[in-house]
Amino acid sequence: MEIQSNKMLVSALLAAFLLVAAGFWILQGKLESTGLTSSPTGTVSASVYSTADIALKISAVTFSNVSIDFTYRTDGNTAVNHSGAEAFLLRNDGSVTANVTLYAGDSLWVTQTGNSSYYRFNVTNATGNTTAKNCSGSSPDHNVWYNVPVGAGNVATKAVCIMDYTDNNDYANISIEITVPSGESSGGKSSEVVFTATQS
Amino acid sequence: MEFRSKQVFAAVLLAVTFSSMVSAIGVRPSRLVYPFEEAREYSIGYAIVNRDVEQSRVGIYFCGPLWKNMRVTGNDSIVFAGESCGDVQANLLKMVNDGDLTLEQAGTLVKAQGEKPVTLSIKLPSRSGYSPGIVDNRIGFIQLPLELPEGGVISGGIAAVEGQLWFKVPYPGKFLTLDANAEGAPLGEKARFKAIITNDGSEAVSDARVSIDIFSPDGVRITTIELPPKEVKLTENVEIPASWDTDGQELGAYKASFRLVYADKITTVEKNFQIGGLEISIVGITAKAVLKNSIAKILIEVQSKWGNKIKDVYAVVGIYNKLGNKVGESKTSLVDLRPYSKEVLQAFWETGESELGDYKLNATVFFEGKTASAEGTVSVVEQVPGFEVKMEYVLLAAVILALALAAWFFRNRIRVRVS
Repeated sequence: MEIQSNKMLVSALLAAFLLVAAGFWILQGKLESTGLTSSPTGTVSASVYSTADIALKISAVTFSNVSIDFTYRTDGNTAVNHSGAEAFLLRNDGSVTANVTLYAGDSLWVTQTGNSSYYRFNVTNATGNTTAKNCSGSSPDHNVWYNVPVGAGNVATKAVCIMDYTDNNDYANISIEITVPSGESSGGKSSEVVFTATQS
Repeated sequence: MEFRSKQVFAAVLLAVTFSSMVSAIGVRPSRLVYPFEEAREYSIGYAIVNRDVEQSRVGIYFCGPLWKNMRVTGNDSIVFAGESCGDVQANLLKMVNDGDLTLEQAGTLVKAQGEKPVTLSIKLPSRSGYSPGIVDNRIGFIQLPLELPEGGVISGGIAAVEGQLWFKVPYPGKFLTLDANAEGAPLGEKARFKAIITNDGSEAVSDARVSIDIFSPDGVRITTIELPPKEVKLTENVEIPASWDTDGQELGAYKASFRLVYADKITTVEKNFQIGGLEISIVGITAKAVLKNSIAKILIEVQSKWGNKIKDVYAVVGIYNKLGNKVGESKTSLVDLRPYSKEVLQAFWETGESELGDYKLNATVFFEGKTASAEGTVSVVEQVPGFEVKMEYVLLAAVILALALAAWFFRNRIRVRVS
């Protein structure tokens, strides 16, 4: 009886072993056939640096057909002349908020050089809450007209402050106002305005 | 004579078409901050980023108090340098504009929607002579040249960007700075905060404690969160996270006031955060039926779901006929919405010769860069419905009145006879 039991036990163990082996063999074949194979694991590390990046989507403000002693604006204000010019349109394409300074490298007028009320700018949000309405330092308030700093020796004015970079909140208008001085000669006039962005 | 000169001026400055020029430039990394360690050398890779669809000529400069210890390699153009970033940049532009340099000399070419690497190397000098705090150095990139259309009075914009390379000179003794983040959350979820402590001193601090006071939209302190004390080693940054359950609070703009206490010193930083989103709902749009050639008054009832005043709220109502064609539009005046208050915005539509029938109203409410929309209807009718008097009712009333009068008359007569 004891011998029989042992035989039965051994047989059962062998059967179990064969069953496991067969199952493993079948399973392995199926796993291989479906392309599921084991892979060694590893770690990929990367540091993502922030980017400061701006684009002037409208980079030329062109007043046409202007007259001496008249004032023109790009903001569409009906209280003054419009002259069809569009404002600068600035976009923050970076991955961080930015402060943007501006200055004009040269004077727009021959008779009014340097900072003057004949050449002014103002900043407004073009989308959502693009920028802080004011912040510390030489930062102008929104929608207030300021003289454009002219000349290399001038400290650039912080025009746009903590400019957002998220979509739909990343555009700002920089409107320009010109007053044609008395005695200004006829002909084309131009001035180059440099917008410099840094992380805020 | 003056008039004539004005006319001449106007005639010369004739219409000039707008330029579609785009000026774009980027730099990565935008800011690096290191401790000011004497004789330490750094070699930093920067990428000039051009997202424009055209290749770009880019002028390179570096500047700041340590400019004499810096140099840029890996580029094929002149690199400008000096202490004042504004002066260096302006000098670069002037030399290009004056023709002192060719564009190839002044700027390197960056392909369209591409990047160009440059390397900035620096060996830090002795710290003596530099005040505690940040020594701000920069590497700058400016797009060249400025091409303006001929004629007119033109203000042309150039984009420039500067990567900041900051070195921190330690303050004597124990000196910590505090920065903080406060992230809002939907009502009922957790608002998350983070206090960031930086050791800008010359000694380690073993016991820095931060607490956060939270203020409601009307400025009442609701609670104070005490964060666990931390050790902050030399030049180390320590971030301490915290959260606050907003369940049971009101929607609105909240303030978190972070207070850092260490070595008998106190520093505070305030951050604003929001519970819920700034929201206005349209309760309803109503408009009574109107006649042709009259004015329909459209009432848009709005309700603020926000805990602070919402300024300059207005609505635009579009009126559409049965075919879906827009036949009119009206804009309401601006109103300020007090917290959680209701207001009625009024719009008016002149019906003119519009056909009789129902018109769809599509109202959009504008507030703080957001919108809410709803629909309603208005009818143009031949006759304004009012109290309808039917002839049957008039006759019935007349009969009742006649019977009452007759009864009163006969009753009085009988009384007279008896007496």
